[in-house]
Amino acid sequence: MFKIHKDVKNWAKHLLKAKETPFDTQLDLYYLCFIVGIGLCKSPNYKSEHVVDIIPRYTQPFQNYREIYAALLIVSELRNASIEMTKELVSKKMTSILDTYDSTHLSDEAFGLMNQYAFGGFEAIRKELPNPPPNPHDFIKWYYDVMLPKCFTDDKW
Amino acid sequence: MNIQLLGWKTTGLRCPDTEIQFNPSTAESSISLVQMPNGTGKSTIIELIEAAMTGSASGWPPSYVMEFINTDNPSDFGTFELHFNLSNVDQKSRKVSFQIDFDFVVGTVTYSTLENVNVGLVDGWEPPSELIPFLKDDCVQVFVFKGDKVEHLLDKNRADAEMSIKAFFGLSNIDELCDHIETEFQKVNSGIKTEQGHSKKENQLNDWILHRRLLKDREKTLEHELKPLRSRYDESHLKVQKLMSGQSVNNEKKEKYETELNNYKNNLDKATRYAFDSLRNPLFISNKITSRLNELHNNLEKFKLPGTSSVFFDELCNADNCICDRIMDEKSISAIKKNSAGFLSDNQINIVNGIKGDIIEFTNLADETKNKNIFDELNAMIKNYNSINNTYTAHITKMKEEATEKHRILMEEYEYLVVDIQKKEGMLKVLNNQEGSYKEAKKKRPKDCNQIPIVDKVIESLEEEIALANDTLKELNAKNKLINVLKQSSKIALSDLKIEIGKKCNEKLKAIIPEGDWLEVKEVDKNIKIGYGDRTQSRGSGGQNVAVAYSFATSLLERSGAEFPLIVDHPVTALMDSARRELGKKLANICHQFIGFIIDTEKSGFVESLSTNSKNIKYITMFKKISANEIYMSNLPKDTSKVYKSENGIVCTDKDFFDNFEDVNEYEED
Amino acid sequence: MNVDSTLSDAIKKACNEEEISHASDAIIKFVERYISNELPSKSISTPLQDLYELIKD
Repeated sequence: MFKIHKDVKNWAKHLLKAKETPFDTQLDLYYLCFIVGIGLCKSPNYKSEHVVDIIPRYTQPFQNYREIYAALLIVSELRNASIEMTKELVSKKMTSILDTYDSTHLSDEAFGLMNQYAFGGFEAIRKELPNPPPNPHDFIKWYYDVMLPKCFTDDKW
Repeated sequence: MNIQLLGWKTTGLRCPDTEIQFNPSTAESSISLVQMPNGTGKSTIIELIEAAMTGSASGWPPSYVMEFINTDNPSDFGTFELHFNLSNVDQKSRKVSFQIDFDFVVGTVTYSTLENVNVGLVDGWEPPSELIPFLKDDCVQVFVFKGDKVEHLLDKNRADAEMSIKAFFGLSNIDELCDHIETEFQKVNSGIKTEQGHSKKENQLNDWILHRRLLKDREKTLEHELKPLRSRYDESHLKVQKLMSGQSVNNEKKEKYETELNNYKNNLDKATRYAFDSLRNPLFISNKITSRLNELHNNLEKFKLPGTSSVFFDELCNADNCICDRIMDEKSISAIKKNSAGFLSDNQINIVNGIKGDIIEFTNLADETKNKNIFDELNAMIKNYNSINNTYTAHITKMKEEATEKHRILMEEYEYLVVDIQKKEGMLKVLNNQEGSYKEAKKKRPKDCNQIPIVDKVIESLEEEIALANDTLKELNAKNKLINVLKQSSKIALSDLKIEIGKKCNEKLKAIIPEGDWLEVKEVDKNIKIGYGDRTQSRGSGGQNVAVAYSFATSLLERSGAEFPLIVDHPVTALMDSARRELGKKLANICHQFIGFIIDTEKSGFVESLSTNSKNIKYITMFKKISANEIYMSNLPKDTSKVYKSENGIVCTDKDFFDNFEDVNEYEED
Repeated sequence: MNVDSTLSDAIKKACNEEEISHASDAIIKFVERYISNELPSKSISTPLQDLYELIKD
């Protein structure tokens, strides 16, 4: 189950309600938060009472990239491991991340990781942008020009 | 009698100092179009033409006189000259001029008249005697035509058509004459001494006569007050209409901006969605992600992952013998299970293979430049959208600001005028109400009766009683007969003239309206009633109404024998292009001289048609010499013979300049 | 300046009805002078008296 920071819906209410918004569901915003979270390696103290369920699977636009998202999680976990990369390590990580019975390919552990990154990513976004612009085009422009350059920097990635 | 306008000259007034000259011809119809941008002083000039022709400026209060001062460059004095040519059948034509001199120091005007070149300019408003009957307000308004006059002639709640006929044929003079006769009779007969026995009746008669004088004064005051009120109402109504039409121009602009804005927004929304869709692929976001994922792919290759499926080892544990033929004992099975724990299942292998395949595929597709281009394009579209949105917002704000204050002031004045006019017309109606018994009224006090016709009958009755006693009955009867003849003849003449002019109108209408347009004047009553066959209609289309108005005006002028030019403000403003073209074709047939005051937006359809169908046309453009009009000055023709320049104004008679002229200023009252 | 023919015809007709046809030309002349401003209100008295005498006859 994808779980999102409970403040996202209110914080982004204009973005979600805007006419012709590209954000069809909260999962779209979850994804943007996840990318920032994983880019900043942010997964702070995560409390279950601070998140709400959104959806147990990817929506159609995300389906094409489910393998890549899983790989991204694997890479992130492997990067966090300070020990030498071995076949066993990689295999073990993949086993723990991947769930063949879920359409998302994500295990419960993977969901947990992803939710933590999304949580942290939202906190980072909100810190930079306490009040998002009401127009989705202005938000997307800000996300690309301001937020993304802070992520995946050399010191973190 | 033929009157042709030769031109006018203004100096030191609120309109620019200019001299306009026409070239009227007796051989053919002459048409002159005077084009000015809004705010030049078109209404001022028309008002001055009317004042020159009627002598009405003598009655202007100082505050009104001061409104004609040039506020940009005030001077102590100003002048308006109006020149025309008067031709009688039995006399040679001669030039007649009226001059109005403004004294802005004391706030007065004085007239001078040139009627005889041998005598020269004389003090006062002294028109030739043959013109005097036609220079009353109600006559001049027939041929000095403001745009709303067209509607007034057809309006069933107004009596403009009847008033015009009465003015032109002396019938309004008849009404005045009857009043004078009554007044004169009272003056003469109030000096009659009677015996004491009759003094009570004399006193009673005197009381009623005094009361009638009071009521007549009240009537005159109301009529006098109503005239300028009605004029102000017409102007106010026109301004409200102009404001509304100005608003409609603003609304058209608003709609244009909205359409443009919507188009930009649609494109922007598509670009935003496209940009967001591009972010769904993490390999498009950062080359760090691409390199880490490729690293994972390389490691998977290096470690030959996903490798053998764990299913193989599960099946092996269930087999009797290993693939090397060794017997599968407990120890072997336990070792295999322990060591195969890290091998992936078939499904996991599929996923890992999928991951490896997608990494390769999306790496090949990932192009940071392409993503950058997507967002550069989005940025550009956002800029354009914001720019058009700002323009639109500014326009809306401006519309609201302009509409609010201007609209409020105009509407307040308009509503006030409507109420005031209605009140005074109501009071007039009471004064002229004929219903009721004079015998009953005679029994009461004079001040209990506010109806002039009833008071008249009481006075008549008392006069008769006194005259019988005084033996002046014969004189009373003579007076009454005279008044009856005058009133009755006025009524008969009015009725006959209405029929005659109605017929004349229809003859002219046939020449003016397009073929296939079924319209005729059904009756000239207080207003003009139109229709066709059995059908009567309260009004026609814009073009039809104008045709009816022009037919009426020219019929009246022709029939009266005083052929004045038609001087029309906004001759085609209410007409669509097709109606303008029709009028342009026929204008030369309507009257001997036509002077139209137009603005640039009236040229479409009208001027081209005029040029094609008329020979003697003068094209005049006039504007103030101010910085806002620099663009006009830079476009003046090189031929200086067609350009007249004064301290503060420019007149150009070049046709090309006239055709290409476009008003660049915001709407401004004249 | 002459009174319009329609008005002068109407005056004659009205005089007939009032049985004072003999005064019609004088009345027409009187109206003519009034319309062309030859008779301001102050000097209307004498011509009026003349008319009354004519009508009384």
